[in-house]
Amino acid sequence: MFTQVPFDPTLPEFGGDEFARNPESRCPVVLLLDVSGSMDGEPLDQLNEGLRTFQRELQSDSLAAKRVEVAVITFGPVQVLTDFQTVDRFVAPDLVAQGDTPMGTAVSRAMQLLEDRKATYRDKGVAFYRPWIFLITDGVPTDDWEPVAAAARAANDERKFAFFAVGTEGADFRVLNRFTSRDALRLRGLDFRRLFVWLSSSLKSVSHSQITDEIRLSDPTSGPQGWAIV
Amino acid sequence: MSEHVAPTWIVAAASVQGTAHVLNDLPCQDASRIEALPDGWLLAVVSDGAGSAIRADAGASTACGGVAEYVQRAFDPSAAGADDLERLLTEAVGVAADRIRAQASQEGLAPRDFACTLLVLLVGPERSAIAHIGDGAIVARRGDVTGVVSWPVQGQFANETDFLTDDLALVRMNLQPGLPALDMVALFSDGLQHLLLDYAAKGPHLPFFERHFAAIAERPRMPAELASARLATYLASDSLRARADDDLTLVLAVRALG
Repeated sequence: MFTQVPFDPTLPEFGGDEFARNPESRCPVVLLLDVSGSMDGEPLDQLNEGLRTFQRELQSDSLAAKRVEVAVITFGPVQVLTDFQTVDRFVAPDLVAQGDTPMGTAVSRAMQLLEDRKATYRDKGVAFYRPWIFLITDGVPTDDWEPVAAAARAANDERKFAFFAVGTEGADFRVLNRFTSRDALRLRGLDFRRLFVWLSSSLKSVSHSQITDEIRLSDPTSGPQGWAIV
Repeated sequence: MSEHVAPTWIVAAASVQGTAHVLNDLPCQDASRIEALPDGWLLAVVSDGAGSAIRADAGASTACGGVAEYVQRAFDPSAAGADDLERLLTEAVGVAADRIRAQASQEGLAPRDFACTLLVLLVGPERSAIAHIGDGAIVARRGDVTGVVSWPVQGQFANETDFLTDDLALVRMNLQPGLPALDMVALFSDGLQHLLLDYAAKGPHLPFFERHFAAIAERPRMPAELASARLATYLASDSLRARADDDLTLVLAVRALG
């Protein structure tokens, strides 16, 4: 490809470390987690364990740790548990079950949080990857969710963000499929751990991608990594 | 026309394969061409093949070759007004895109399998022109001012950009046919843009360009091949490897009077 050139005073000296120090590109992801009363017990224990796996997996990857930014919103009531921060500073929360399932309000809050974050990126000249919203629920919305679902679906189709909806046993998949044109995924049992391994490895691929790469995610419904049934 | 001796250019150009490409068993998908034209004009072309396109390396080299060969054939220094340059560059880019389409259909593939970006600079004694599709950037110095002539065209997100093979590429192309003459120019692919552009200050990272423009300006008699080989060694050095894992292409040209 190139050849070593011996020192020659008639040739130019290239080198030095005079590079711009631009911030790393960011890959924002919102975890939108249902902590309604019905999640109490085993489901929430598994979800908490999954979050710790997520933290561990992403922190073990130095580039992902600097590029992936996680925000956590729980519902209900809707609460921004942690605003966007890079994974190297992320600490998996310990979720406690409470309240009902205001899914519409929660999704709306997530979209707002993302818009604010994008404005900050643009202001600071930070490049960013397509954001992800990752919704996990076991129930049916208890609020006025339909207008929000339509807005989320439209934004997903305009590729403003990628919206993933995951339901456990008891979730209403017809409702979930209204939020995104991507098929909602049904969690196999309570295998949150495998879900978060998949999510972190997908985010690693995105955060390692070149500016012009297209990312193909591994299929969550098949193979040893599979955690979902369609 | 003018009586003075046509200025010539001191040049160095190199592409090196990125570490990510080595790991993923991808070839170097960047290409460049640099050609001296009559009456002190210079043509520089850089193309960066998309990592996700299977024949991106062929796309990049066909793009550079298509533009260079068309301009060498059609360029007329006595008709080099802004309108002439606009037509010339539009045609040259169109020819390059057509060649890629022909090659794609020959191989039974889609044009997007050859997806690549394109940076073209034509610079003469009194004026210059650029055409740019996608990411990568052009930085130039005129008098004592160094600035970004063309910024990376970025899509909505960090991993999206425009390609020569897009349907709307020529519509979305940044075409500037009426630029003044430039004394020193640098074209580079997206693997370097994070290091050589200061996004917060919205300008070039000056220390790099001051050093590297000076490095070749001080060596008016250097043979381009040897200088280019040395530039390639630098682009492949640990100092750059630690900061960029993509393919890297850098073209440097400095006007030498006399």
